[in-house]
Amino acid sequence: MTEPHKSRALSLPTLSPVRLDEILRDATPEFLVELAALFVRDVERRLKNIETSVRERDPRQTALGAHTVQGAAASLGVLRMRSLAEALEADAARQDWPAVDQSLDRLLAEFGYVRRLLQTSDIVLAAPRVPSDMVLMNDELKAEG
Amino acid sequence: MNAEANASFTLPSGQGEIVAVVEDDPTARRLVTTWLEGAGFTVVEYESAQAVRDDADGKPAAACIDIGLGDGDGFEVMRLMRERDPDIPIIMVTAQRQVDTAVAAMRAGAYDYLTKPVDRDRLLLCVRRATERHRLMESVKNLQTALRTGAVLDTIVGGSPAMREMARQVERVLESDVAVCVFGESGTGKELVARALHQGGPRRSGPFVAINCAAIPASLQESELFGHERGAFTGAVQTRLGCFERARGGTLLLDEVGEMSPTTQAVLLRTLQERTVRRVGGNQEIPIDVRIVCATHRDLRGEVDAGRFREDLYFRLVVYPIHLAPLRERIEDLPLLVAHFLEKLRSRTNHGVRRVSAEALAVLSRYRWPGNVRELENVVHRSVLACGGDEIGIQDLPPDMRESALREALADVRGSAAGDPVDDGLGASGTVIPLRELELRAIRKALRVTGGSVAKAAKLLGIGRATLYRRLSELELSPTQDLS
Repeated sequence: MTEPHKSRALSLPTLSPVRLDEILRDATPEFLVELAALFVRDVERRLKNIETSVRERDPRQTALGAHTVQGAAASLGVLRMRSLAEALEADAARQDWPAVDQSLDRLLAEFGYVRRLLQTSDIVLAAPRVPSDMVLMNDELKAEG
Repeated sequence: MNAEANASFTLPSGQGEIVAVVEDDPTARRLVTTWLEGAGFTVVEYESAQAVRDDADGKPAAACIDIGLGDGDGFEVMRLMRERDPDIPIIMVTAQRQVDTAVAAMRAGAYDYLTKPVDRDRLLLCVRRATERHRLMESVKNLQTALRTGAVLDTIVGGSPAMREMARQVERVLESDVAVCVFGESGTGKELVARALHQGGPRRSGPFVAINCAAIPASLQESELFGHERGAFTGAVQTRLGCFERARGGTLLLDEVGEMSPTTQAVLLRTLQERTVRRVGGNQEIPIDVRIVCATHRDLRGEVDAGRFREDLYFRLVVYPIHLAPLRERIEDLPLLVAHFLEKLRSRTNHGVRRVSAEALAVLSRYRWPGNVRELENVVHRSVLACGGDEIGIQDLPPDMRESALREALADVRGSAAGDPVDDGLGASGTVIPLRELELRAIRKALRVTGGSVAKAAKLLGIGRATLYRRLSELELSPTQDLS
C-alpha cells in the first residue's frame, strides 16, 4: 500500500483557504453556499457508485469514480478528501482490495465530516477572507491515522 | 490572500462572446461558468459529449473542454467543435498529472490547456486571449467576404432598371440599423440582399444569423428565436441560446417572416419594443444588439388585412421595404447571371464549359422561371453536367425546358401566323402530341409565315440559323418545300 498518499492526506487541512478566497473574490458568500450544496449532492452520488464498484470488485469503475471525486474536491478546495480519493484511485489501480476497502472507509468518513462542515452555513459564510486560525482540520481523522 | 497583487492586476472583461464549457463535474462547471459570466462572457454549458453532439446550432467563440468526460473523451468533442468551426480556439482542461495528455491535445490543435483545479485568473486570461483570437479570425474572414461583396452584388445586380434601383435602395440603408423587409418570390435572392446589407454595413465583423420561420414548427419558433433555459420544457436538457443572442453584434435575418405563428409574433413584438430578450423558461431580460432584416414571398400587408399578421409588428418590421423583381421581369440580366454561375461552377468543379450558345440562351430567355435565379442556377448546373464540349447547346438543356421552349415557339408561331388558338400540345382527342411532331409543326409554321426564310424562321423559333438548318436536315425538310 502506498502510504505516502494517506500520510500526506492526514497532514492536510480539510479546506483550502486559498481556494475559498479565490472562489469568493468576486462572488457572494451565498454563491459559496450554493457551490458547497452542489458539491455535496454530486459527491454523495459518486460515492454511492464507488461503493457499488468496490462491492463488485471492479477496479476500473472504482478508479474512475475516485478520480472524479478527486476532481470535484480539487475544484472546491476540499484538500484532504482530494488526497484520500487519490489514494483510493491508486489502490484500485493496483487492485489491492484490502487497501481499497480501507481507503474507501476513510474517504466516506472524511466526506461525512466535510458535509457537516459545508452544511453549516455559518462556517461557509464566515469564509470571505478565511484567516489562518479558521483553517479547518479534521482532528478525528488525523488521530485515526 | 494576496490582495495587493489582485488590486494591481485588472483582468479585461469579455464583450458577451459565447464560451462553451464542456465539463461533467457540476461543481467545476458551475465555478468556471460563474467566473466567466462575472467577466462578461456568455456561457453555454454542456455536461457531456452527447450534449455537444445534440446542439449543432451553437456558435461559441471559444470552448473549455474537460479531457476526461464521463461519456466520451474531450478529444472527440474537440474534433466535433472544430468540424463545426475550424477556427474555434479550444482550451483543454486536464488533471495535473495528465500533462502528457495536455501536450497531446496541443499537438491535436488545442489552443491552450489548463490544469485542475482551474485557476480563476489563468482561466480568464486564457479565455480572453482565445476569444480575441477568434474575433480577429472572424474579422479577417469578414473582410475577405466584404471584398467578395462586389461579386455578391453582381449576382443580385444586373443591368436591368429594376436591379439598379434595388442596388440604390440597398446602399441607402447600409450604414443604418433601419428595419428592412425584403419582398420577392422564392429564388429571387432575398437572403443575398440581407447578406449584402450585413457585409456592407458597420456590423460586418459580427455574425450573420438566418432563421427560416417557415421551416420551424410553430411550437419551436419561440425557443429557436429567443432560446430556452434548461428544464424549460420536456427535452430542454440544457440552456440554449436563441438566434437573437447568437446574432449579437451582427445581423439577424427573419426569413419567411409571414409564416411566424401568432404567439411568436407577440413575443417578437415585445422583444423589438423592449430591445431585450427573455429565454423560454427564464426570468432574466437580456439586452439585444442586432440589426433585424426580414424577408417574405408573401404580400405582408395583405396578411395584415386578412388578420394573419399583426399590424403593430408589421410597422416595426417594414420600415424600409425592398422589392426584388422576379427573373422573368428582368430577363435582360439572364446572360450575366448565366456567365456568373458558369464561373462559380468552374471554381468548384473545374468544368470545361466556356459559353452558352445563342440558341440555348434564347430558349432560356423565353422560359418563365417560376423558381427565379435559384432555378436558373440549377439549370446551368444540370446543363454543364450534360454538356460534352465547351459550349452548352439546346440539346444540353433539361428536357422539360426544351419542350417548354418549343411549345412557346409553336404558340407564338400559331398566334402570329393565322390567329390560331394556342396549341397546348394536345391533339383533338386529348392525346399528347409527340415532341418530334410538335417540333416539325413549329418549323413548318415558321417557314410558312416567313416565306421560307431560314434566317427569319430561326429568329421566330428562337434558335440559331445553323441549328435550324441542322434540324431541317435531320427532319428531312426543305425550307421551300413540304410547308403544308
